[in-house]
Amino acid sequence: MKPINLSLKVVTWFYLGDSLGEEHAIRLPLVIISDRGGTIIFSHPRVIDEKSTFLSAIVSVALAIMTELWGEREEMIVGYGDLDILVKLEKAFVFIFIKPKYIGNDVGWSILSALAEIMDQLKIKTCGVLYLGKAECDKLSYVIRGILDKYGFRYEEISKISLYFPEIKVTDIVALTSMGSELLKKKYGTQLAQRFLGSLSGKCVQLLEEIDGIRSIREIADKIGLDEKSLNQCVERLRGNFLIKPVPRSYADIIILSRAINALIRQLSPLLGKPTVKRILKEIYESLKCDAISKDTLEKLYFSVNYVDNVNLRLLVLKDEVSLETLRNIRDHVYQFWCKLLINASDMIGEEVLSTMKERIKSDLAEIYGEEKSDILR
Amino acid sequence: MVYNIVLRLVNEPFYVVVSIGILILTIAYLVLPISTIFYFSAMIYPIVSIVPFSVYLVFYKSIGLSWDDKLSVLLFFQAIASLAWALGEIIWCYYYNLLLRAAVPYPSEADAFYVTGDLLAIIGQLLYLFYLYKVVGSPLRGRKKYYAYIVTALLICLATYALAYPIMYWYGEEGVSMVELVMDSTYLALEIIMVSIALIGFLVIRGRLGKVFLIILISNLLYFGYTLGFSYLELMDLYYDGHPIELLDLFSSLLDACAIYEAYKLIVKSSNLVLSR
Repeated sequence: MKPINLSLKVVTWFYLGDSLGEEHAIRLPLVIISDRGGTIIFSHPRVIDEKSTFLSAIVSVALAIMTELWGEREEMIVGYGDLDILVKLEKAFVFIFIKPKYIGNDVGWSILSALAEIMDQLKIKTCGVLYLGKAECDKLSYVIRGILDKYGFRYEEISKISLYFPEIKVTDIVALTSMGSELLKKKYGTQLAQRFLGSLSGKCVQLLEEIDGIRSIREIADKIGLDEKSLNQCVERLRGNFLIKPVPRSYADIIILSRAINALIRQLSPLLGKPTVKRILKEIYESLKCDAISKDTLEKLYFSVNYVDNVNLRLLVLKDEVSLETLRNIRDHVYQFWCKLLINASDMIGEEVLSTMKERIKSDLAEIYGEEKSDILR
Repeated sequence: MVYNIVLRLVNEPFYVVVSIGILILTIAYLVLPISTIFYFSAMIYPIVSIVPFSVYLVFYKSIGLSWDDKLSVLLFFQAIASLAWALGEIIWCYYYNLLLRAAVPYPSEADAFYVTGDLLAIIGQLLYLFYLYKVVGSPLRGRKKYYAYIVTALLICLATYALAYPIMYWYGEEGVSMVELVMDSTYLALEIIMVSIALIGFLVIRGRLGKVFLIILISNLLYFGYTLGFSYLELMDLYYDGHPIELLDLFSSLLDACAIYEAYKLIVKSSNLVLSR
């Protein structure tokens, strides 16, 4: 059965240690096995008692939706801020995988299926309150680690806390996670925020404050004058503490393409004349009919995409409130705009000059966003 | 192919008018007797010279002028260069030829305007090329660099060879006017620069903008051809006002107007190729 994607649009600081202090914090991903009553019988890493109530509540809500509202739905994905909660209902047990959105759902489903198999092998079929023995827990933990290793996630022990997170490169365009954003808002409001920010260098906090979901980390670092070594350390801290996240790939493509288009417009305008470039832009706009592209700014020889340049719309994207499909559609339109601009430019100035311009733009953007991402300009 | 070009030209009223102008000028210069052509030339020369400036004024609203827009700067300089040349022609033709009945007033005050016109045209084209250099680095690469060197060297050789004989001849006979020699050399040097710049532009830029540079290049070549012929004939004392060599200069002015018109077309018309994709 195909999983149903449910987005709860909850903006909550999903940092379980907030009220309890950092030492009790639980980082993600988190694997839970619960019974049908919502009682947690296994978690990896170990969930402290105070938080199990909260997690049980999430499990219970998910379970209620799947059984009562949708009638024994087997799989469900709940979007929860920066997180995805994958819920798999099988026989007497509910298997849950809570992870940041960047970890692919396939990892989660693989873990949950493997756990279901193990539970089956262990012949555990009891409903109601159940405590697993050490041997069963070790076996389940072993399976989880094995699958995470298979998908290339590093499993780090930070005291009692487990943490997995995808690599963030300095050339990535990043946004604040809801946790990062809350931390900044509560800058000196809570004990935890003070402790967190206090442990970061001034420049690193400045970098965190400058993150806008448009610029790459390197761009921001260059602006605030952060050297390479400090930058890497800072990124590692921010990444490790789940304060920053890479923006969706389609969105990064939109940003890179927009910058490339604007760079080409800037180079073409003096060569072809502003009125000619305006005409070309207008014709391309008319042919694409994409609402996300701003017509008004084209008049001023500036290519603008609403979801990038409009702060409110950009925030929606950064909070994962714009579907990936919408972003992909916009990306396709922006890509078509780029291609049509190239065709027009080639018709006007010839292939040779254009390819030199294109290569320069590409190499400039590759320096900022990395070779791989700027490949979209090929 | 020729048929297609003719058909396309006929479809554009601007080129129809230019073609008719070229035809009338050619017939007049070849058919009219020398005594009549003197007046015809004096009457028509300033009018033809000011055509590029007039065309620029007609399309100015569309073309505009902004320092950031180097094409508009190039066209502006081409236009005011043609205005300077036209002012020179007014002095030469209306003042000297028609008012004072003086033939071939060379050198005269008109030359100040001709030199100014040449300098303005060079500045406009150089500004454009400097920007191109900024954007794409060294614009000439590989074989194109050698084409530009060869053509420039050829023009220099041609100019030297064409002027060497009359200079030596006159030097041997009764001496040559130093002012005239300096003026001739100045014009030829300036026009070699003009041709070279336009040639670089044409070699680098293709597409519809390349067409504008091709027209400017042909115009500069015609102008160079005229100056070379004028200098040679003048040194040999064979030049007269209304000499058919003037046709090259007149055609050059008309081509400058065509270049401005083509640049205007870039603004208002999409090419069929682009529209079909």
